Amino acid sequence: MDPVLVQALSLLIGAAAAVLLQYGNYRWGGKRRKPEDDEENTKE
Amino acid sequence: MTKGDLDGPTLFGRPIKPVAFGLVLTMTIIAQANVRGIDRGTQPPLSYIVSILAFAAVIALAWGWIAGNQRCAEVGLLLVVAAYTTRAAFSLLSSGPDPAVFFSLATVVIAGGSYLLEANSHKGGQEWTPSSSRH
Repeated sequence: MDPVLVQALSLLIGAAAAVLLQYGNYRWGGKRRKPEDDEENTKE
Repeated sequence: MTKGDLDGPTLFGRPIKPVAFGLVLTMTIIAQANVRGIDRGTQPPLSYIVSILAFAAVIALAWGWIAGNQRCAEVGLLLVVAAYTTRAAFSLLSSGPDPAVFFSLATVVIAGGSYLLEANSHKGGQEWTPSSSRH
């Protein structure tokens, strides 16, 4: 395989891993608080 | 206090984070080795990009700890994941399943797990601040 292609692909995989980790935690992470929970807690 | 802190001891009034401290050391080694072109896990010009990622991770983790900035610390852990995944992918694609691939992947698991602990600790709890170390 072309060495430049290997380097570009490696960088893409590295960036994708970080983005997927952050998105996965945002989407499926635990202890997420919903906005309505905060509204419920601030009610008198 | 987050899930990445030691419960009790502090350093300069700040919580001790063994995983983050260890990752700062490894990323310092990776950054300087890639600048000098002696990291066997990469080749120029990719090594320069990996060294920039590693150096940015060191700065983000250090500043996150010094300034008590939780978001900065989380970005630092994500940069560690990006740098080591890049290194693992390049080693795998260029020289096959080498031990360097598995060492890099192991560090990705450590940094990724630490990110998940840090990112989820402050939701409804305490953030990474100097005053939060004793809670």
